[in-house]
Amino acid sequence: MPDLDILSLVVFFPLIGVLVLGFIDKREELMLKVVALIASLVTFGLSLIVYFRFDPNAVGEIVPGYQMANYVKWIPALNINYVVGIDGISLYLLLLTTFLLPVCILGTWNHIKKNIKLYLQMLLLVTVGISGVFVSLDMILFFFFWEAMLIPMYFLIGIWGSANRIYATYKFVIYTMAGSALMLAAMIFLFFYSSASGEATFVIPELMSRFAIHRIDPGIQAWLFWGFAIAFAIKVPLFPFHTWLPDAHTEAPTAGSVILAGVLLKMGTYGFMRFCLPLFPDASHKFAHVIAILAIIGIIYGALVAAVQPDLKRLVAYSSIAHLGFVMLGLFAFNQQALDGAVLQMVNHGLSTGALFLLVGILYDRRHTRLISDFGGIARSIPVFFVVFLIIMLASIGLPGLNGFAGELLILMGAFKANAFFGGIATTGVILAAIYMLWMFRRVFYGERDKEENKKIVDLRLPELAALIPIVLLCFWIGLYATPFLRDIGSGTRPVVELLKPPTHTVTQAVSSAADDSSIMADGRFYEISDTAEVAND
Amino acid sequence: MEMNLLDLVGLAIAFPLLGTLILGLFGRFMPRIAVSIIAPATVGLSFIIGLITLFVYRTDSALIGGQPYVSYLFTWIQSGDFTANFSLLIDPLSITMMLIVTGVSFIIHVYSIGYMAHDKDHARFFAYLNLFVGAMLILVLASSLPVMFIGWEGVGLCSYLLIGFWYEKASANIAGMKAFVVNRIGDFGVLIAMFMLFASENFVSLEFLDINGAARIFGETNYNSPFIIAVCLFLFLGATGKSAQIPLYIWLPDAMEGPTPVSALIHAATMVTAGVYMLARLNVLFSIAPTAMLVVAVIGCATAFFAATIALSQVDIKRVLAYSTVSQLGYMFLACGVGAFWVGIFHLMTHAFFKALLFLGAGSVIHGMSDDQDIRNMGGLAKRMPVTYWTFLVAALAIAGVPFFSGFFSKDEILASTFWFGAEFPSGKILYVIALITAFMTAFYMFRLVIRTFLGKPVTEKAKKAHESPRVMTIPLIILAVLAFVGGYVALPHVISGPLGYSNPLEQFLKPAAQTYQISEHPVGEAYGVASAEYVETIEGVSVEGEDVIHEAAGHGEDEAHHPADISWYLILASIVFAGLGIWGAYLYFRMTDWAKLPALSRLIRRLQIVNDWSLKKWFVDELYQYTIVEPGKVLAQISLIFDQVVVDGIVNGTAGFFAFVGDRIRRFQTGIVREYALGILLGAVSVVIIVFITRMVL
Repeated sequence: MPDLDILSLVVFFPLIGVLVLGFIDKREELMLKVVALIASLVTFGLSLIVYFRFDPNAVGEIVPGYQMANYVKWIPALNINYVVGIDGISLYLLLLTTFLLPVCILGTWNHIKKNIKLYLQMLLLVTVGISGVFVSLDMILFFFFWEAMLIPMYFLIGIWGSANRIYATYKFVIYTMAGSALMLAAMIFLFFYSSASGEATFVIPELMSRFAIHRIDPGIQAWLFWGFAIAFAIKVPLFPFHTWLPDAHTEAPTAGSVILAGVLLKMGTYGFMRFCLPLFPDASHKFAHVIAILAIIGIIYGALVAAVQPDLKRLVAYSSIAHLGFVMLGLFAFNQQALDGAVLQMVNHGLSTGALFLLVGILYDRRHTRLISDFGGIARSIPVFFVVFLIIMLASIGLPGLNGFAGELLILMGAFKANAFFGGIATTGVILAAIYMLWMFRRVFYGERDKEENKKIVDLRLPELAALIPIVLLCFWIGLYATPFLRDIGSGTRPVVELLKPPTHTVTQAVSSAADDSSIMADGRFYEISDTAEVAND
Repeated sequence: MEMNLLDLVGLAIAFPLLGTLILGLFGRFMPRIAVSIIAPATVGLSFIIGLITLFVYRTDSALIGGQPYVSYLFTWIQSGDFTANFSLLIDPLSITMMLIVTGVSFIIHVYSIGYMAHDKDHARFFAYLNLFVGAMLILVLASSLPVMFIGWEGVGLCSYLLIGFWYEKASANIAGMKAFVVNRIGDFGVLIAMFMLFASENFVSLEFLDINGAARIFGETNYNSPFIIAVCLFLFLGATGKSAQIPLYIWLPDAMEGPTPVSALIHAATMVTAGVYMLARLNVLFSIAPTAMLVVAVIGCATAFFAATIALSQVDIKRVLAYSTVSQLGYMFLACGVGAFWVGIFHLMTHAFFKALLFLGAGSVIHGMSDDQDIRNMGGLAKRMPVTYWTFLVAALAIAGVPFFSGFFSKDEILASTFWFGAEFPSGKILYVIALITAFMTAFYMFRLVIRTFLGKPVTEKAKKAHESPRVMTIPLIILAVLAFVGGYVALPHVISGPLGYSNPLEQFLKPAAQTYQISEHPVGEAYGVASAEYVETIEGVSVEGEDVIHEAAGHGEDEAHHPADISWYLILASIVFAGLGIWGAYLYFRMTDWAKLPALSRLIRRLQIVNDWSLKKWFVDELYQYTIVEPGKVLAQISLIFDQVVVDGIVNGTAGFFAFVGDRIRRFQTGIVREYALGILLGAVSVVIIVFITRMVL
């Protein structure tokens, strides 16, 4: 019996909640909610242990480069293993996932009327799937969680969604699975390909270190890159694969939207970070322009479409497309600032857009409409809600001092350094974000209260406040003091940046990095890569 | 770490922010009086810290000669080779700005107690106002561009919130949004400039001291290079947004929708001067890009002139003042553009006093007139509101440039600097002439305002019933009036102060932080094809090893000291004459002349009415922007939406539809009849056999 590691505990603890909920009568709604809340809070508490144990300078024992790792044989015949571990890239995404679970439960405390037991079980299950994705270090395990997460999400949208939910949920599931099929093929190919340099393996860090020495042939890299990239691009979503998102968001129940925007989309950007960049650096360089252009189109196009949406949720959904465009641009700028910014922005977007969906959901709960034109002047009716919404909106449009800015600044800075033209164009997104958000804000909150219903809206309730205040505090914390976050994130992105450096540059860079605190890994890799550089020159 | 009293300066930022926190969270539940005490008190404390800072700084022997002191607080963002420390830079420039900001803010906070006395949301108002002071102090104290940017956007946010303070009013919240978006366009420029500096290998960090230090070295080899010009122009784009210059000035007049103390504080005295401050802060960087400096001077001069032509005809008391602000800011940029950074800051200071006073006076008038702002409905208020009238008059004399009032000294200094700039660079004379004409217009529109508001007979019932404001409002007016009068004496012209054996304290103080730097091989005039005068070796700033390659120009003042005294006197005379003409013209036109006796002239003026109308309509610039930018943008957004629904989603649904269609067809083979399946198996088996057979034959 292998030891139970902390990461697995975090991932699977919600299952205990699901089990306990199963024993409670479905009419005991308060009991159900309390149990689910406790389960979610314990999960989050466990993930805090991960956070406090995480050391940005640690080398990692069981799996090099990853902490709190566990390595268990799973299906020996196919060399599929249960490998989990965490680094600076996945740490905050895991935390975000476990953090948003209690937020969702609290934030929609009184919103769900139908079959609440199953609803809570699905929420807990979806969290298992998503946190599993972020800790998996074996490709098949990753794929397992990646697909498993779809099932509870399918039910969340399909059962508790609004009018057009069936169309939206089919679109979401089929679109995602179409991408996954290609990814699975690419994974299996990689498995067999790895046999050329030792035993065939699905373990990601193992593949990374092997392919750092024996680079995959660039032609093959290109195929594999796209095999993964299309699956991830659909998930992100990258323009033009985005149209499932507004539908899914609009039809999903509030908690579904929060999870979708908060963490589910990050599975796509995380995938790029974990697979495409480190495993296929040549292909990444080769196609960087394509991805960057699509990302920039996403930034501008998403903002333009958001500006003319009559529906609040669709507006936020399109703003997500624009925000994730920034993240994608950062990923494909390949330098330290851009990658750090991209990871930070994944977290930031999860917080601010997650909170925006929650806020819109609360409005919907009160007024049963999401049309902007149905509101107006409600700042007077719900002053507390107004302030929270204002802060979150400002975080979302990247006001300095709030979290969104720290991420955007680093991304744009890095992108500009990599390619001034792309960086410059993307920066206009900052202007557009202000336009669509403030315009919406004005129409919803300002002006005369000419509709009777808007005079009697109930302000934030206690559980809703309990869900939103931590988010607001985090927005300020990251916005005013991003250094500790970036220290952890940087420890995860630095090896990726090293792998992405063109061989000729690596020599000087590695010499300088070897001089300072860099571990033996970087030192070793320097010799390895310079070897391949010589081979390439020959 | 060694502690220095100067590290206290962080508290100056903390107090107002604390005020925001308290008022924002609990203000609604607090008694009115508590709010009215807390808000001004936090700003007052900041002002006291400002005074302590000034005192400590001047007495600290280590900081003689304007050495900067950097107070490190914490590391804000750190990633790879990019670090943004949250640290504060204390030098003469930031101390001057800090005192202006906190001083004027304190006075206006006190005034607001009276002005907002009856507003149900006064706690929210003071929360925003305190936040503004905090953000403004971050802006002027930050030691690096990224941290300055926190304040830069922070004040923009406060401006947005305060313009739209009465958010039920549609025009107010539209104006607020316009301000924010237009400012963001400018901020885009600041961001790009930051990225360019970061991406350049010649600039090691975004700390102001490092940027200026690197600029000195970089300037040696890359004087006026396209890169440096571009950086400066992007920064200047930011300045045109925040400081309402062409082409981004359009938000400021609309910003008058906010409560009047806000107009006084944010949209006249402090925030809008941020662009001028930024240029002075990055003086070395701008100095190595003379082409960019020329653009700054031309835009500043053009804005000064253009805004004045609009101010001539406006009928809303606050709008006259708003355009006047745009115009005066243009003067400040003109000063920076011709290299007289400290003069820009000097005018910034005097302007802060007299323009704050004008706005507060206007607020008092509006208060007395029961919220009527149309000057056509006023008249004869001098008798009913004596304190307001006399203080307003002081401010009007100051802005018009009447001798002995503060504005005279600062504006004269700008005109003189422009003139001497023109001497080096002949076509620069045009700038001087335009600036002089603008001085005439300034005097004219100001006295048009004074006459129509305060003199003559009351036009309406409201004007007859107007009453003086309470003391909490008039005392701030009196304090500002004193400042608006004496503010200029900190920097008398050399031609006056020289013979008196009295140096120019403000210039002496600001000189190390805000003057033109010249590089030995590239005198300022060179870019314009003119050789220049003498240089003095640098003593401060980055240490440069080896040769004394870096030189610093003799201070502008010493330069001026070499200017012939007689010409200096003529220049002073010229500004007096033009200001006098403006006042006299306004007096003649609006007061003295009996138009009935001059039918020919009246007819001529009536014919020219259309010019007045166009000026009143602001030369249709808003409409121009509406139809060339806003409307096309809306159309583009609509097109994108349709494209998204029809094309992008159409392909997705089309693909799905295709598979559904194919699936439906293939489904028909699955009939469920075993005999048909058996037939299928047979056909399949036979075809396999045939294929195998054929391939064997061929191979």
